[in-house]
Amino acid sequence: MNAPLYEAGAFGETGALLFALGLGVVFGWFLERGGLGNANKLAGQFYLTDMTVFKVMFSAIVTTLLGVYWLSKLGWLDLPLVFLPPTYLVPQLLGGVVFGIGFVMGGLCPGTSCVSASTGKVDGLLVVLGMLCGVFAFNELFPLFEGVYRATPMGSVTIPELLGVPFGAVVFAIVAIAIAGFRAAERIEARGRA
Amino acid sequence: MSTNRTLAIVAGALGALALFGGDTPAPGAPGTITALEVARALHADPEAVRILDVRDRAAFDEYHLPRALLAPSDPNALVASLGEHARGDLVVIAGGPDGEPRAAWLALRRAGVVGARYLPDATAAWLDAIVSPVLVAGADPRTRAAWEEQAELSRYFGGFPRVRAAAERPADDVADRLRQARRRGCAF
Repeated sequence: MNAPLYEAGAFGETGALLFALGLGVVFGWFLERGGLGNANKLAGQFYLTDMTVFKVMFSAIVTTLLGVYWLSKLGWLDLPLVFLPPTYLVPQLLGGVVFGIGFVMGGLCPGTSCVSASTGKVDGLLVVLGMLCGVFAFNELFPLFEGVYRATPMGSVTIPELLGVPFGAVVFAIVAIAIAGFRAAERIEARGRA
Repeated sequence: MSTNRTLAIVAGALGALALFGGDTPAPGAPGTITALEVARALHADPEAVRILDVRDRAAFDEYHLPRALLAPSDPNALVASLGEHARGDLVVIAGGPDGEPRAAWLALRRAGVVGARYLPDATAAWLDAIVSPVLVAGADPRTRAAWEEQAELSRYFGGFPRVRAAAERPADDVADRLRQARRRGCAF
């Protein structure tokens, strides 16, 4: 059986939604057990006192990157069938800045706010509420933002395509950066504990 | 040795091997194809393009793309009907605005027809892009240059490219555009 499973006909629409629900439950459980429902731990990333977020995110990136690359090379993953969201340079940079400000202020990102709220934390509930209000306001005011929202489209572009290098070279580079980053993160945390 | 160290070594080894593993197909390669891309392919080498129309007979008889063949909409029957010699060609699934063309495309992909693409709402797309492409007056030079190529393809397929004033209301009904196309005696 090839992946992506939905495109390969492993299950229909209902099965895909149930599968996504199950994956979401597992993902949320691991986030909570990893402490990422705690705003202090998340905000600590920005003050360099707790590098958990960096290590979790980069671990996920490396795991997925190696999985996607090697499953594709082995013929188990039909990579062209994997959806790739298009890149819009300026609006996504702007969105990243807004996201970063909100992340530091709230101490939680959209995903971890749901994790925090699910454990009954009031700050998590408030961030979820704020996020929903922001989504609603954006949709209501969309005509004002539409020009920026659609600016600088680059299509569904990947780093190998952008740099003109083979995918394998990018995999090697990102894994090397990740390993160096983990060592640096450990040193930063050790210095903070000392 | 700690678990973290073991995982780092495994990741490092797989990453290093990837350096020699080379490239893979890019993700997110769209299954869709535009009417303009179909026109370019037909113009370049019509024998290398197979257009399979998965709509019903009535819709096919009312209008279909040049060189299109009526094909079974059932994905399994469609795969079975496609000969081995066609697997190297560009295979375009032309359909209505519903999900049928995509379902047929997925079936062909699973059967190993990597050159398969689908054109949703093929009639409307072809009429818009090839039979009666329209350039709004006052377009920037880049848009105009792209349109010139499109206009040339349109004339090749018997269409009628035109420039319309910015204030003019565009035709938005497929049936109207079909009638207009027939009135002008387009050769298709």
